[in-house]
Amino acid sequence: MPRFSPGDRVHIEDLGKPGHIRIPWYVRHKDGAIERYCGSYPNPEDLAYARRGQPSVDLYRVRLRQIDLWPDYAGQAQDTLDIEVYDHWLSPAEGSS
Amino acid sequence: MTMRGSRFVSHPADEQPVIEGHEGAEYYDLMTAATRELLIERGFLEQAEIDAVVAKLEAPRAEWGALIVARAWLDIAFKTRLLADGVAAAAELGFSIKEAQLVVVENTANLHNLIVCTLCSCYPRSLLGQPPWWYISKTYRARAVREPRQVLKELGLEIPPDVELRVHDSNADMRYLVLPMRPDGTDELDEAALAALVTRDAMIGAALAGRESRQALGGDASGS
Amino acid sequence: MSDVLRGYHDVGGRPAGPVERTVHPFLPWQKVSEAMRVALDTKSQLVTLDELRRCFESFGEDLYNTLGFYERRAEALTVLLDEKGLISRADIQDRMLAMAMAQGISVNFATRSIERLE
Repeated sequence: MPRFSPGDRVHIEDLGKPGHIRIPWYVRHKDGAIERYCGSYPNPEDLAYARRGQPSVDLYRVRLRQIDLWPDYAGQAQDTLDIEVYDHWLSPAEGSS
Repeated sequence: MTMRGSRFVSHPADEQPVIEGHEGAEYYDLMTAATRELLIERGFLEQAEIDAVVAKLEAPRAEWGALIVARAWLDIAFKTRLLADGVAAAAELGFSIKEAQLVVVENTANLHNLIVCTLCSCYPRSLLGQPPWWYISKTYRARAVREPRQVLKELGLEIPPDVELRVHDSNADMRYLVLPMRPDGTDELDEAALAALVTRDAMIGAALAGRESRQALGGDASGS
Repeated sequence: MSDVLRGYHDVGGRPAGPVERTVHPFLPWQKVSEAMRVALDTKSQLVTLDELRRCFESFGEDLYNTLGFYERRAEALTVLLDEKGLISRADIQDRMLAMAMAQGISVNFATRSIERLE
């Protein structure tokens, strides 16, 4: 069972890991909502070092508001960004149940 | 080469220019030839195996994606399946997508989608072939997430202020295809004629489908 | 919260100039380089894409910023083949020198460039 469902408010962690990481800097410490569950995939943080990436990890797409990502965002308030985040980089957002 | 201590950089480096390109391609031409000889000599690869992959790299093209888009415009049930599972729907038309999943995102009168890969240059290559050069450039990768409206304006596409612009960072296992809006006045066109209106850039979200968008933004990196 | 460890390849949101619309062909050596990597991965999982990425994300910012997309990947492939003990960098360089001599060119490994001999 995936830990999160579409619509759940989540916080993207900054695990501070060196090495090969697929979670870009600009979304770390930000809040968004689960857009969909994508399935379970070998962990690239492991694959990068010739390991098998097991156990595989749950992957979600998370939707964020651009104005939450960039304090100086020059577009429109309704603009959004979707990004894929592995489960271990997510926690429930504060104030969400 | 920089030393190990500089593997990671933080905020101060933000102001560095982000550049692309190098004049030393001949060096890599030679290095690749040397590597190829050694891999074959030592039995790690055979020439035929390399040739087979080159053929697979050269085969896919934007026209394949355009056929999928045209079918989705004509067949609402197909469109529904395409939005639910891009790989399975593409397989119905005979296209075998090698990437894990193809997420198809639909443009509407209220929503415009744009694809980028900020970390490298992820792209549905097994369907569309190599991405355009601007897509793999560091300038596009850097700016498309932070000032997408400005970037699109530079590429010749202005998004109305009341439309939601949604950027998709193709950062992990999914690959993305934008389903553009069907242009007005195309009711009489058949599937092939509709497909001809769909450019590679339209399927990235950097252009609209239609006659006026036939001038693609630069060429592709495939040399064709 | 931990300190931000931001890789130099992690460029999303950085200031940068106008989007370049120039066209570059997909050169034969680029195809062969990509094909060797894919074939090694498919055949025996010897060189995976994530390993290749890890290599060019860690071979140094100066190099990363100097090289083009396919050059970064070709360079990373060499690093990876060496690291895995398949083909050493020295062997590749020796072979490059031998091939260069046959072609009447010389190789400068420091600047990663080719010079034509008069």
